[in-house]
Amino acid sequence: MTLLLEFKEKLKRIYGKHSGYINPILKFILAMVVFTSINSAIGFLPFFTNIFVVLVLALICCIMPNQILVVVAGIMIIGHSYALGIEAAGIAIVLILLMEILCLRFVSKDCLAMLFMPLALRFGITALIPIGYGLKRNPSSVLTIGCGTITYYFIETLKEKAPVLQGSTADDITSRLKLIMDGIFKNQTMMIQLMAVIIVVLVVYGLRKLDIDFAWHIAIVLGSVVYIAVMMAGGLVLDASISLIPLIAGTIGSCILAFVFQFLVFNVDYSRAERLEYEDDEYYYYVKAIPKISITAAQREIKTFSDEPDSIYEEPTVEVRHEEIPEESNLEEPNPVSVEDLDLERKLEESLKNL
Amino acid sequence: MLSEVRIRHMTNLTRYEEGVGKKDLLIARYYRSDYLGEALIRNFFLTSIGYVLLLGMLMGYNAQYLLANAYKINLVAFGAELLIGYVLLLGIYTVITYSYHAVRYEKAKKKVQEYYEELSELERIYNKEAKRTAGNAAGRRN
Repeated sequence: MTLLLEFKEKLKRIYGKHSGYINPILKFILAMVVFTSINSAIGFLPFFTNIFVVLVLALICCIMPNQILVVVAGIMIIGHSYALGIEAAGIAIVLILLMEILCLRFVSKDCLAMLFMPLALRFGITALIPIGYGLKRNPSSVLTIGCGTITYYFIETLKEKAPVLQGSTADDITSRLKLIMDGIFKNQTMMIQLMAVIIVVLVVYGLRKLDIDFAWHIAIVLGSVVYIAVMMAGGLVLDASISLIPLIAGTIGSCILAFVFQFLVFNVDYSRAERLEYEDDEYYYYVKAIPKISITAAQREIKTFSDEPDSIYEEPTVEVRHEEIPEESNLEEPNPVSVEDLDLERKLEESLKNL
Repeated sequence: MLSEVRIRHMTNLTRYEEGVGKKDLLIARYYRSDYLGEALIRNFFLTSIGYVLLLGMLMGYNAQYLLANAYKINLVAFGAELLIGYVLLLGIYTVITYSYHAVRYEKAKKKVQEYYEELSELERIYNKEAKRTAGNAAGRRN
């Protein structure tokens, strides 16, 4: 546990020192993952599947605000949809515009959930995103998480219906429209998934705000249980095919990752919690103070003095080094010397000679 | 001479100006009624566009049915339903927009007030230092 806490403190220190470099690198990695995932699912337009285009777009996104990454991902989806047909591109544009007009203009801070949710659905750790946002953000993040879910299922619909869409003729516009929109409006798995993520966000948010010990831990566990329960109940009621083993395995994985997230973000020691009561002119205050668990390494200062200065006008240079004393010192203790072994007369003669 | 207190104030002010304060300072320039009015006008246009897009999508989805049964549909009742749907959607989004921007305006105003208080404190520190410097210079001349 101490090792983990030290590792966390080191991470915090490194991030604090170099966040100007680390943030763009992380955004670049996220952009690359998002763009390559889109290309691997619906890579129908050769321009966007070109690795150099992907690299350039990722480089641009890493120095821009987060909203630009979402916009570029949207443009890629529209581009690939256009390669399938004008109807698919039209539906993609209308869907993205509707999401922006009806939802995203109120929750632009949580726009990255629109990218995280499809990635989580793709990698099978769906519950992680609603649990994470329920822990750290507020209930309005259901809008962006829901939009991310709809985007994922739209991409999956295009991927599934691509052979049919590419093979049909231009006269079947209405049937092509209906084919794509059935994949969204009549997709029972998507409806169940939407219900599940909304309920999980609300449950997790409600639980972690409670004034009880281990609120975050309870929220994570119950959030995972609620997700499995809603998915299974939804599958039974709406007669949708929900695979049980991937669902449970993915939710357990999400739960573990959520605990890692909780360790990094909200690690407190409930055993040393204090309750305080005080008042001022306007209010009575009932405060619960829970200390964070952290390890601070002591710093020692080493001053080294250089040789005598060249001229009497120069001051001797002083070098100051700060070193951290490790928690468990591995330094070997010097061999103890007894007083009887010391030759004091010889030492006195030497010191007199130096004088 | 470097003053730690002054540097701390300046750092806080700069951090605010270059971070959250960019939006807050823009919002605080408006009167409350102007800010909310502008948000509601923008909401009107965006919700109208959104409704048209939604309607277009639904009509595209039911295009075959509509084309086959156009002669059976009571256009007046259909138009009334569309209008009621539009008014309902606009009403809901107007309430959401008003609440959201009202809260945002209040929060921005409060933060900008704190910003100006800290700015006044910095000005007081500068004035104090200027008086001290002037006093020292006068003492040396004498």
